[in-house]
Amino acid sequence: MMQVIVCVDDHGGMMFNKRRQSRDRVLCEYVMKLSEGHQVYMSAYSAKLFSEDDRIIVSENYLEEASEEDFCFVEKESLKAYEDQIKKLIIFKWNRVYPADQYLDIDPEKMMKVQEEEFVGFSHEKITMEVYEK
Amino acid sequence: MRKHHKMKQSVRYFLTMILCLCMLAGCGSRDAAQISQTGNAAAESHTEIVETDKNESKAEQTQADDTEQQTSADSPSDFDLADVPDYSGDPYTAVNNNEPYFTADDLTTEAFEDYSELDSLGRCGTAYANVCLETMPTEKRGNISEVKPTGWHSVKYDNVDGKSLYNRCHLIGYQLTAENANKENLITGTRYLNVDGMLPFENMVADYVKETNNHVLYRVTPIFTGDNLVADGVLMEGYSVEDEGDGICFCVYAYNVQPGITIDYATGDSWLSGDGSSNGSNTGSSQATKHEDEHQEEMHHDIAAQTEAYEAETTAQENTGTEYILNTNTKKFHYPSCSSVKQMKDSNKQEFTGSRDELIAQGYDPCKKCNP
Repeated sequence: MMQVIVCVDDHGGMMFNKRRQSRDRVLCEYVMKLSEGHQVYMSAYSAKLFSEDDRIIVSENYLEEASEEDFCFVEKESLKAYEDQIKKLIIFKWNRVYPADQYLDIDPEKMMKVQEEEFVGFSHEKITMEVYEK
Repeated sequence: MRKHHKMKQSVRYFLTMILCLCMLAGCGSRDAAQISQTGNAAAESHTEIVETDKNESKAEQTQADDTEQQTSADSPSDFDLADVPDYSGDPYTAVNNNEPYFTADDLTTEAFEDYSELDSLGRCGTAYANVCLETMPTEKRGNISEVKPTGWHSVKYDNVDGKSLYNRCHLIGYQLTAENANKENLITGTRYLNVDGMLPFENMVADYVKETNNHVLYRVTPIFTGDNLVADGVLMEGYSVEDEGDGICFCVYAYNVQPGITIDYATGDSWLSGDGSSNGSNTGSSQATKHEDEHQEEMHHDIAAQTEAYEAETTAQENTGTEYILNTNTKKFHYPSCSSVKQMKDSNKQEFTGSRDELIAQGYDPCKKCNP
């Protein structure tokens, strides 16, 4: 089981041409705050977005390595194969449309939405966080 | 028209050399074939790059004199519309493996904007900019309704989001280079091209620049067939300079189509797909299928008068703009009479006079209650 964090646009898109659709430094700070006390696993590609922090674990196989209490910040990996192992899904919505050729491939509607918050980002006027749990 | 933004030449020299060396070494994520294609230009080094700039005005003049050429010297010569698949439901498609046609000569951290002169038919050519914070807007967008791009028709359909088939489509979006009524940067584009085809790329680049303070080479080339007044689509290229395309790298063709509507690209006339009658309200041959207000319905039997009245009203509306109330918190816009306006906090309330399209381009959504 794991806790997964993803960012999507209005169409559920995540990446285009192997690159992230968007980024926001305030969101990165938000991620570190909400995961306080836990490790945050991510790829080297994603780690460039974050300030150095001992809680960040960089691995190309991080979805296999993360334990139940850890968070996984996912940008380019498919989650389909891990759908059964995800106990909490945190979706950050950009509230904009970007080009996309890779989409979130699990259905959050199969889980229960337990929280929704909005905050102002650095380059985004409104970012919505939705938390889903099994 | 080229706009140069200030930058110290020595800094530019240094960065250009580094970038050229990086490209020659094959670093970054660019396709190897593309790099080898541009390698010769890179090997000619900084001197060549500077000379290119010095000769630029002369080159542009030559280009302007060539009335058969539809794009500026900066347009990608390797692109061939024949390589683009027919529209099949997606607003854009990757071309050249999503690798832009920029060469080493293009890589610079000097801000610039370059808009091709209109051709003999009055059509736009390539618009090219090195987008950075310096080129981005510092104030709200102005009115652009005075510009009538080639093939422009004010025509509405019920099956088009926002009704209007055509938008004055910025080649380089306002949020990137802050160009308002620049006729060299506005084409007749469908709502679908504007919102679904081009806006996503503008959003992506704008966010990246704001977050990184980097530069993005951004080039948009309208593709016209023959003497058509309406472009078939636009070639859009983007490449982030400082990180060698790690952040932004795309090369796509966005289709100037509107699902459900057939367009005569030679003239801009249009009609509902499957409707044998030609043209929209501009020629008056399609009636009930078009958006008709009460005023138009009174003149239902006089098609010519209907068309004239419609055009006059549309033009008047465009010149004066429509009054809306914005909620700067929820990013919704309303008619002033909407009941939601009364419930709005004064601190979130803002008056706006202009077009619906302008507001949507600024990221606002229409209120679902009053449906402005």
